[in-house]
Amino acid sequence: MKIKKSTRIIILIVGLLLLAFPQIVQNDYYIQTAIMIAFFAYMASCWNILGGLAGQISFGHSVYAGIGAYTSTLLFIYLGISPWLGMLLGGLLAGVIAVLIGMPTFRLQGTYYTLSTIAFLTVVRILVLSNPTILGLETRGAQGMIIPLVNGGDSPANMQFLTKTPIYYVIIIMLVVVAAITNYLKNSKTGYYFSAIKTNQDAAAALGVNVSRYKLICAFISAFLTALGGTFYAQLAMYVDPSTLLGNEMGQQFGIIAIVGGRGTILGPIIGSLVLVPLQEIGRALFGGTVQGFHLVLYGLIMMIIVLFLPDGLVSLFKKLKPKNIKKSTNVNQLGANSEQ
Amino acid sequence: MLSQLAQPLLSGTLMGGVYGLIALGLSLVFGVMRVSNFAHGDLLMIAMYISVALWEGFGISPYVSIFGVAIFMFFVGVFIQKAAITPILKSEKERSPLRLILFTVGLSIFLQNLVLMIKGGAPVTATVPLSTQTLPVGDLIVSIPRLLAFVLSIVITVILWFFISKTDTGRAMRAVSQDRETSLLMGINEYKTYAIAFGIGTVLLGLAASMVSTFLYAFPTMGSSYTLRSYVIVALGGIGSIPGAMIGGLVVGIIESISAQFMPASYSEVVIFIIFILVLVIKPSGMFGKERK
Amino acid sequence: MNNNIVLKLDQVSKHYGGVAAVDDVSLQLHEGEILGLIGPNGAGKTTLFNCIAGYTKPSSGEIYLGEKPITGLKPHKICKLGIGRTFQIVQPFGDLSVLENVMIGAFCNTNSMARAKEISEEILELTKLSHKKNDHANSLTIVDRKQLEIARALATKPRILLLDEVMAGLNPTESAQVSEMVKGIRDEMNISLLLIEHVMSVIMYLSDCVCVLDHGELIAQGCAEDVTTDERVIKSYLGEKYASRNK
Ligand SMILES: Nc1ncnc2c1ncn2[C@@H]1O[C@H](COP(=O)(O)OP(=O)(O)O)[C@@H](O)[C@H]1O
Ligand SMILES: [Mg+2]
Repeated sequence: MKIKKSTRIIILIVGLLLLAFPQIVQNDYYIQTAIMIAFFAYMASCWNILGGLAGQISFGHSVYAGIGAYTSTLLFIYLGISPWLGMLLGGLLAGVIAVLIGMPTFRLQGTYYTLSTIAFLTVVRILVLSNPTILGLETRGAQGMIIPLVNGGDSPANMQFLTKTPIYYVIIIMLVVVAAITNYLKNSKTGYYFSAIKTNQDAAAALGVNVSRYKLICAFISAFLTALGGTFYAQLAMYVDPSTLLGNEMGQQFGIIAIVGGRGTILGPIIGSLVLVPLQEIGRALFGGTVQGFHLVLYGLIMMIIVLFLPDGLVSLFKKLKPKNIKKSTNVNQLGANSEQ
Repeated sequence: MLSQLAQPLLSGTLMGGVYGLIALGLSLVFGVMRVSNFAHGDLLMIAMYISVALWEGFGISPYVSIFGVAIFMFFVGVFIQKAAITPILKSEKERSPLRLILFTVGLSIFLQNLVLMIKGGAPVTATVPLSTQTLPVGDLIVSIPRLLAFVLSIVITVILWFFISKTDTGRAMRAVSQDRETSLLMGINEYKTYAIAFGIGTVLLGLAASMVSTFLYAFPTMGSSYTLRSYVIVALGGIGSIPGAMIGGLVVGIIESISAQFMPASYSEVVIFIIFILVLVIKPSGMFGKERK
Repeated sequence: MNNNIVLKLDQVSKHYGGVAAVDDVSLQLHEGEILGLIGPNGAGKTTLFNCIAGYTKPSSGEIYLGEKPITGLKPHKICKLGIGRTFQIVQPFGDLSVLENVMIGAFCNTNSMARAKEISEEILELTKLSHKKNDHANSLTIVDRKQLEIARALATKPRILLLDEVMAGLNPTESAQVSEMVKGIRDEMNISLLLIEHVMSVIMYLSDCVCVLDHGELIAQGCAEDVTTDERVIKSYLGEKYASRNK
């Protein structure tokens, strides 16, 4: 693959900085914030595979995080299966469910798919909230489940760590993996097909693209990776509950972050997370816990502004600085003049 | 058994009429512009909060403020259309661009949390003297504000149907919804027509909100379930069809209220979702009539 | 042109509600033939294409590719079987470059990026779009977009190509340029073509045979000169012109 030398150097420097970060700051609060930024960047990147590359917009994606978290936690509690393995099984389950949901809805105009994602999240949340058990396994409804500690919480084999630093490295690795997958997809037949589907399904089908099959493949990949993030989140909090992981807020955030940062790009979700997640912290600092909804008001507002005025997201600000793209935009202007005729 | 079902059947019918009115606005906008409005239910929520605030703050009954609220909502609708939807439509080539879904989701999140921030999450309602009045009919009990809301919904629907089928503006709307290119040739101002359609949609929400604010509770996150319900109704009744929206509304209202007899109240959204999936599976595109580019 | 039939339509009809958009149409396309399809607006030409290419299922009738019935198959299957199509309203993938647009088509026969690029570059050479291969598809002029649409379809390696009003919106010079390209496709790539066209001179120049549709019905069929002197055909065209003048 062609990666320019300058890009390689930048990647190397950023990589070293990321590795050294916990040693440099030596401060749990900053490491915790970095973990949250990386977590949301990861989740938004997973969302981006479906929403950004293939243009299928989900605002209920946290349902897959919930499925991942509940699956790995239940497997751990009942069968003693390590979350490292449980997260993969949760991912498979989430992927299969995403395919089942996609089958009736992908055939339709985009609106109906988006609706179904919101509806499905709501339904799963209601079912988990209002039932003490699921399939005979105790999930404790709204109370949620506390993940039992092994060896006082010092058991890397069971994804339990005493300090924040190893958790930080786990999520950074996950983020690098999802970025690599996105990059691979963007440079493969599958990724080309996704972007054809995103722009024009009829034209894609005329060129031999099996539109529904590729949408389902995409939904599977995205849900699988999202579920891994759900397990990570559960192991971070050592707790699973329906109102956080299966909440509307979580479902909206993944999408917002990717959209604000830049749909369909590798860096977009990361930039979006770097900008938006700290806003939550600022809101907390300003109002303590007294005012609900502050950061989401801002998220909604920023999202509207971005969609209206910067549809390609914050990353496009960087790209606009490059001379090559200036030429492109003049071309677009010429096109405008042509179509006026 | 039958007498047990008679009451939910009645309540479901009354509520279904209002659902129909709420969905009508969406149907119109979706039909004319192919624009997805994910903030539909949230605009209803806003209008309900305004009705309640006018009652609590100034003692103005929702039955009095209804026209004021409707006019206010008209301008809200036209503003959203002019400030956001028209610019997006103009800059994108597709007829219903993805950006509109994203924008209206952003609007929905903004409105929900703005209300949450200002008013908190507790449900509110306008308890007017009429709120608790009932009318016994045989064994059944009819809630007067619900009956009133039902009757008004039907009346408004008939008026709207008359407007769409008999006036020039209505004809322009139908023309634009059927064939964008030809209607342009006919000299119809497309974007003005869109703005009017969107404005009418929000007026209907204002009317519905005023009527239901005397017997339903408003809360910040209520919008998403109304948005979903409205889309289900539109899918059932056919995009852009006025009688279709009313019939769809009645079907959904009755199914919801009868199923509430057999399961906990919190499951009503589960029921809507099941109806939604069934509609999609049984008649994937047919329910919307002709799908055209 | 030889006598092998590559595409056969057997009494194909398509009803929308009560309207027969295509009414009992039977026709045959021979190997290496360019068959023109003409008729006034709303005659059902595009609908017929949609039936062949799998975008809509005929209400009745059968469509054969060679001997193989393909009626009601999904568009991507039909593409894989060797029928390419273009759309009356061009539909480029605007975010992608010209080369990438063509590569989407090339992936029909390969999974490899390098191979797809190779195929696409050959096709772009043939369609004289090479110098624009890195431009955004949205930045192209109308004639280039039409050629891109054809190039993309060619990249799927079709045996049959359905072209829906490719000359519409072009000036005479551009239209001549595209005509040459179409002729080249038939002569050099040995692809049979079904061609919807409004410009009579193009039809006369390109097509071996012509079919005339009116109100969904096939009202005439034959060699170009014969058909254009057919009374019913003249009437249906004059009628249309008359009607459009009175709009
Ligand atoms: N999806 C559709 N739904 C309903 N009617 C349609 C549809 N597609 C085409 N038609 C109708 O079929 C007829 C033929 O249209 P078309 O095939 O586009 O004609 P042409 O391409 O010859 O101009 C027209 O009357 C048109 O209105
Ligand atoms: Mg046509």
